[in-house]
Amino acid sequence: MSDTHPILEVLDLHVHFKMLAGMVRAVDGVSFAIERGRCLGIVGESGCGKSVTARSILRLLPSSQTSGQILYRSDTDNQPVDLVSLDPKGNAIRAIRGRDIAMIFQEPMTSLTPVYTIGEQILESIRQHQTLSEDEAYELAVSMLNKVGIPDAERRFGDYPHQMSGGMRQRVMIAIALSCQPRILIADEPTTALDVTIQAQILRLIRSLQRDLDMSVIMITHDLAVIAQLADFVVVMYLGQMAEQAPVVELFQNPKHPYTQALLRSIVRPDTPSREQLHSISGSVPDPRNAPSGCRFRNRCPSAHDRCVQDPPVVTFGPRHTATCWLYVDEETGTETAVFRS
Amino acid sequence: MSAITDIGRPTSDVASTQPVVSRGRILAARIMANRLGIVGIAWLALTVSVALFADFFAPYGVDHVHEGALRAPPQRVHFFREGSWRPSRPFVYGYKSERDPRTFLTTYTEDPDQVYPIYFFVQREPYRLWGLIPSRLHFFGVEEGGMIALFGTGRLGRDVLSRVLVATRISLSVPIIGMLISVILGSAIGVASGYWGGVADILIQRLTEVMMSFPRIPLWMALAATLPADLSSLHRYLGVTIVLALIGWAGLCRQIRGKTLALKESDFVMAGRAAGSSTPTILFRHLIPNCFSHIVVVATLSVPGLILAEGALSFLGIGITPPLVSWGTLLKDAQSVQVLTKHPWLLAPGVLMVLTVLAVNFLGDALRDALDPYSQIR
Amino acid sequence: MSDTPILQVEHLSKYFPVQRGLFRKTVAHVKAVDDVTFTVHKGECLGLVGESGCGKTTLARCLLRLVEPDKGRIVLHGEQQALDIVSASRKEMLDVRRQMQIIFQDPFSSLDPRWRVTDVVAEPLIAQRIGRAEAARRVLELLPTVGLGAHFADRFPHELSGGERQRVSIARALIVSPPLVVADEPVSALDVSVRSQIINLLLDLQSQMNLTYIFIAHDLSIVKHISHRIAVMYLGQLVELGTTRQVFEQYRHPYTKALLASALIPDPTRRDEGYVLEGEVPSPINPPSGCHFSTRCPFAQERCSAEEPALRDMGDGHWVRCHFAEELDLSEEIFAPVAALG
Repeated sequence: MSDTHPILEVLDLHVHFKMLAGMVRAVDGVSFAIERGRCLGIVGESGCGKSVTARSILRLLPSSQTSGQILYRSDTDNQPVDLVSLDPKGNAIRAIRGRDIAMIFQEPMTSLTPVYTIGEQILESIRQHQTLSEDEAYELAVSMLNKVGIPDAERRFGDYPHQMSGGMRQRVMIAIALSCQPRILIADEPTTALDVTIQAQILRLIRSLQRDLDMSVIMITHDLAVIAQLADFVVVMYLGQMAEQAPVVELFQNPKHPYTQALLRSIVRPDTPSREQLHSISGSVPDPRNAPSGCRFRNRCPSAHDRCVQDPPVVTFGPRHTATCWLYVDEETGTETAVFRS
Repeated sequence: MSAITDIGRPTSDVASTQPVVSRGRILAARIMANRLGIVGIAWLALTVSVALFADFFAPYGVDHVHEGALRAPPQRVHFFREGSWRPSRPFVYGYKSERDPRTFLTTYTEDPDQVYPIYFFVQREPYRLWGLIPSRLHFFGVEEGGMIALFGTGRLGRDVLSRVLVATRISLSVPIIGMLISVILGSAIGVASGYWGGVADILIQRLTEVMMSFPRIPLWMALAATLPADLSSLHRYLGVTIVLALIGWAGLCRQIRGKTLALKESDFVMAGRAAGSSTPTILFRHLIPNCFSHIVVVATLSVPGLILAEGALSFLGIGITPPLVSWGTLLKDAQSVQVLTKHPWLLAPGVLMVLTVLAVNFLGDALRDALDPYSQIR
Repeated sequence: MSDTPILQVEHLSKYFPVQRGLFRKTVAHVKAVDDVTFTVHKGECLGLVGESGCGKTTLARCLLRLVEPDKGRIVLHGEQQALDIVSASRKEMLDVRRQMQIIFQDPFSSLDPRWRVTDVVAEPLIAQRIGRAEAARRVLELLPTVGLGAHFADRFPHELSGGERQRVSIARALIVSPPLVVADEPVSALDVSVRSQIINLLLDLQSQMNLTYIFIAHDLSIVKHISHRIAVMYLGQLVELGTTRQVFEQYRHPYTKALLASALIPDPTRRDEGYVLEGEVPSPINPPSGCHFSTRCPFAQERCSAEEPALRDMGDGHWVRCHFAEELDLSEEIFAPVAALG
């Protein structure tokens, strides 16, 4: 761990939902930390629990059973607040939501209210957390819209969401999220619904705003290319469990978990020989209601072993590089093989 | 080619871990989670079985007259003989009548000298079950010569309970058959209108709007009044059913049309067309089955209106006519204010009507919630 | 792959009327497909790329007459004779459906939730008046070819994962052994780990069954991987058409360049290499006059907004819709450099 306290620390987070078919362990023992001003990428496929993790940071899942700790430090010297211990409908978390930690979603159309203009929506968010005069709030709103690259912001202030394109709506969402200068921005698949050229614009925008405002970003995505372009540190999740976490370059160059390795091999790169068989992972992600015991990747893993029916250990490979896998534990001695020790 | 076999490998090991909860189970669980829905289902199950076996449950025939017991109040069921603490077979007392010399009204009181024990599964008045099976078996009754009137008697001395039970048949079958006719009409026209669109759609939609903007009761009355007066009771029953159905389909038609418009653009309908499927296949195998849950809810929620409509028409004398009995015709006996003060038991059919309407509404709400894709119970 | 044409599309157009007001007066047209001409050769895979709203899905649906085209011809060179799909009779259309099938994008909505897998796959056979028993037999024969076991036949779509559903969708398209298959974004709704499986399957099936593909996608790397030739669409028009090599390496249209540059590179050591195309895709209701790309093109001149360029043959079957295709030097860093943004 680095010397400065991370702004947000998630420790052994479990989020369970009760469903007809039994308990769904949507997030099962996930731990990670986000440093100030950095971008953490959480990557995984559908059902891996990445969105649930993000939403539980803001306590947006009141019907779930959440355990573990989510420690938030607004300032370096402050005592951390455990967000899990807060009442999900109480005032304490409401004060943090939006003001300290803001979130943007995949589909901006459904996150914006269709009956109010975008100006009204951004003003409302400003007034909720800050005491500003009418004029000051308006100034701030317009400057935020300018900052996220909406041309002619004063004129577009009175536009309704449906009058804007998908990319513009996502910019508005970002403007609303950033209007209170949050310490952390959680972006849940912010570009999945957007076009290639617009996606590039929005990602660049998030990165430049992160630098300008010295903000921490949690980028949640299924797209490894987005991770490669934006994240400093990556958490790879599979079916509610953490497969691997590492600094971004380390993860792409030296992946340890078979799942990460397979994912990285399966993406089509510019130099992939054309029309040849791609590397693929057999089978598909099981339904979270019927996740295998032990290592949840074991029924698709090329290196699966008898041991994998038991919960795999967390193996350390380097500074902040860990993988949750049996592969690196010596079968007989039970000691970790090829393990970095500092 | 080794790669091909690898890719072609069935993904069964993984697929077998896909969810195993069937839609039916989810639906059942969602309905069971709704208490009022259960109450509704229970009440309807009871009423329907009573309707099916009304002759068996009713102690008397509809036209059986208790001489000398006109507008007699309900009898109480007793379990203890006078002065005894030992429970005995349940029994009722006969009536003692007294006439008020000034108002000429007859009042009835229990006569402790006439004791009629209640027996179950007794052979009494003959009837034909569903018009076919001759039987004399009744659920309960008292000895020949005695009388039992748990809901009291009517103007002519007929047993209210028996009449209410038998009336259940008509009062339930008219709305249900009417609903079925309007569902068939409404969904066929609605699906066609939504699928083809164009001029036909515009004409159909204007027609439904006109139908829906008429005030209902007067329209029903007008249509019911067109049924010839000399129609036999049974034909009249069919006529009333059709009249109710003819008005009910419009609302359903609009809803199904909307649903069809949405489904028509869905990928699986597109895929069906790309497969080369004919229009009937698309309509009857893709569109209607996928509208089905919607149809069920709308149809269920339309039943209370039809129950009340039949009741209203029959009450006004332009619906079901004697010798058939429905709750509406029975309520005709309860037209005066006097009934409320002196003979409230004559309102029994009204109470049943209210309970049944509530029950259907509970069931409809439960179904709607259960079929709602955004429901919390998964 | 040969030069024998299997499908010739000539001046195909589809305009959707925009209606307003009580009397549904047509106030404008969305030119979803605007004078599109191209030829598909037997045995090849023609990729079709473009951003959302460029009309690629409408084009696919026009090809199968799921949407009625307004103008133009689509000549299918069938086994016996050539016939124009646009003017085909109902009986002829049934024959077209036997020779040309489609795979839809979303495996969750393209299967009727109330049909079992056998019925879904057999639907095209039943439409061809083939008996139920025979159809069921052929379905069981085909399922292993797309990687599904026979026990899938009695399942309902909701019991399958996304990848399995897409295999069902592929089986439905292939059950009548059509020589030509239109694949409308067949992998974009799938999980990353499943995507490469489906791409591999499509490649295998193409060589096994001598299929010709029209492969529509917005993901450039996948299109590049699978296609022999690529067509690039922008606002309803083809702007560039050529071999994969021509389009990816010798592109002559500024939009192609922008699209390629916007693609994110899945490598954290190569950040900020791409360039971001400014602006939004204009509304297809009133596309810019002249060259539709002129509003976003860094090379736009007066002539571009005044005069609409034609799709011109640059030699070797490389077609480009740009006035200055010969002159432009696209190797330079033409678009706003990233540094300017962040």
